[in-house]
Amino acid sequence: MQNLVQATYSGLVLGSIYALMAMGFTLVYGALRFLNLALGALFTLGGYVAWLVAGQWGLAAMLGIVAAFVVVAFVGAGSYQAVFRPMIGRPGWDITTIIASLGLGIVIENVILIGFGPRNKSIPLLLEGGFRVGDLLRVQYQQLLTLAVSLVILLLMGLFLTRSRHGLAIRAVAQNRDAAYLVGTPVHRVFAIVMAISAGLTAVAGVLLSAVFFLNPGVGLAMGLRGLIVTIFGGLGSIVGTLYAAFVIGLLESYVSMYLGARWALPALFAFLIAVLIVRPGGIAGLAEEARV
Amino acid sequence: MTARPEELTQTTPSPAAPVAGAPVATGVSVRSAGLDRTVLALAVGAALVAPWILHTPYWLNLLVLICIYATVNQSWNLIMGFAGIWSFGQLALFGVGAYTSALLTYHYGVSPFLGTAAGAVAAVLASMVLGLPSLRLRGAYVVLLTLAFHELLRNLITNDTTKWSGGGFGLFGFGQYGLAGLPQTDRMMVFYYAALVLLVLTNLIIWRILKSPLGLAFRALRDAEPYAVARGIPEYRFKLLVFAISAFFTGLAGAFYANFLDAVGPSIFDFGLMMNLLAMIVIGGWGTFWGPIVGTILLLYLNEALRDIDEWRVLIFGLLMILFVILLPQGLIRPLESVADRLGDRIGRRGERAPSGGTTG
Repeated sequence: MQNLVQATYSGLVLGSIYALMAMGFTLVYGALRFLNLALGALFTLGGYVAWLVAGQWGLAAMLGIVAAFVVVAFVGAGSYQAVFRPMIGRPGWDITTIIASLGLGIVIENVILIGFGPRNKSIPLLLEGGFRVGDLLRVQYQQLLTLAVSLVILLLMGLFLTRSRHGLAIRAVAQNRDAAYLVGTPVHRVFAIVMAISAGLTAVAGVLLSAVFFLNPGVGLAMGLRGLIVTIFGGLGSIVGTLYAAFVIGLLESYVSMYLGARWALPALFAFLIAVLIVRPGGIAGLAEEARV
Repeated sequence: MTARPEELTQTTPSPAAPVAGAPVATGVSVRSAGLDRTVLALAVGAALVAPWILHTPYWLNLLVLICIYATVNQSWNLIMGFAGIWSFGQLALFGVGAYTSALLTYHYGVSPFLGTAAGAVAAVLASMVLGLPSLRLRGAYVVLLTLAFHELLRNLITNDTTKWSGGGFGLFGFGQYGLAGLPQTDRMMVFYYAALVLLVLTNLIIWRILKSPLGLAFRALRDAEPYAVARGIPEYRFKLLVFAISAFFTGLAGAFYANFLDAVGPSIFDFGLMMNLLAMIVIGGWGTFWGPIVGTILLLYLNEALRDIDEWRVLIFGLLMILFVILLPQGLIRPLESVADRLGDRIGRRGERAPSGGTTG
């Protein structure tokens, strides 16, 4: 019982980080229709920016999160302008963008490796301490903060998408790119904004998770993969589906780690995803095109 | 900031005008496959003579690696470039071949030749495990499932605490096909010619496939899937078949690689290596017959030339790959071909030419 409660709790915390991470994939796929596999490396980059700001320069940890979001968002928008923009719409662009994003990921990862070295780094905890709920549950303030930050950011993103002009433009482009273009939506600017937001969300996920675990140039790969698993499970491009999927996957991983051991987490997720895809190829949301983004 | 409408129009394949699903026009690949016999003869001649000119263990080692990686790349190109399956599981299948042969020989004393054959068979089986659930799905799903398969294998082996698979350290001293007694240079020569046979055989068979109705079906599926399916091409079965063929040669190459190095370890699943292989295909010319081979030779040579700045190599390859995808998506093979054509015209010996463009013919 104690284990179950504890695993459920850490699964929810994990799920909130996965939600941020997967939202990066979902936004880009929903609006631009391509998989940005560079997001794994941007996750790592976010962690390193926060490490630099909070760990090295000794500034407030919260500032680290903000800095990571801003810096990585610029990298994301820049990568759109430099790499992806020339490719969009060309014959075969759906696969060339994937290849380019893989290349971009490996470039970013190696820049980090050369710049910061291969050794593990740790970001100082944003909040120390915690409390116990009877003997059922150990709660760390850090985990509560992670949950809070993720949920607030996701909420802000939801408001941005539904209430702001830019959000309206993003949804318009996601629904029908040509029609949006014809009524005067600056499509490329919208794409750059989407790339910036998705990169920023991923970076925050990177900071939050690196504060719990540790940071090295290779962490992005495993996280990128988990983000992808969530994204696909959630129905590839569906925001609501991604949210559900993030918590389901987070819980599943937490239970498997608790009862079978951490090394079975990825195999279990993989097996689970294959099973889901066989039964419901559209993911849990299985929503039609119009419900995306 | 404005965008031209044609940039934004999504291409939808229609029966009347098949749209290229890969950056290369369909006609080109066929033509380059049937390119001048001269080029073919020159290439084979060069490959036969090369080890006598570069007659040191260092260069021979590089030549063997070129043959092995070119085999893998050509098999990857078959499914990715020609059949339009976005699989990133190729290196994993290579690893399955390597590990199967290594484990059989190391633990059970199976003959390394039998082990090598078993490696190829195991890769085919693994490709079916991977292909049966994923090949029914659309592109992005295939990318994920194949990447996850790769990471899964790497994880299982790295975290294996029973030492059966060698775990993070790997297995050593099982292979060399009983050639360990030979002087190094002679041994390398034998390995080179064996690897060359592997490469040539793989390419011959893949070439036959591309020229066969099966190859035409693959290109049709890649370029205009709805049309091809409507014409009665059993997409799923064909994709499984091409996946298995590609896995067979990849597994064979993997098993040969393990025996050649006399070692196998989880570094075979290194993500940087996967990127390098992908860069070779993309830079050489993805979806063309000669592209992956040219790319492999070029990048492996570059890899050696840049040995002194080790940590920058993956970075440089990644950047090159991005630049090529943006600026020259057809790869190096197109400019090379036009030079070869011009030379051929001058000599007055024109190769047999298929009409350029279009899938009919």
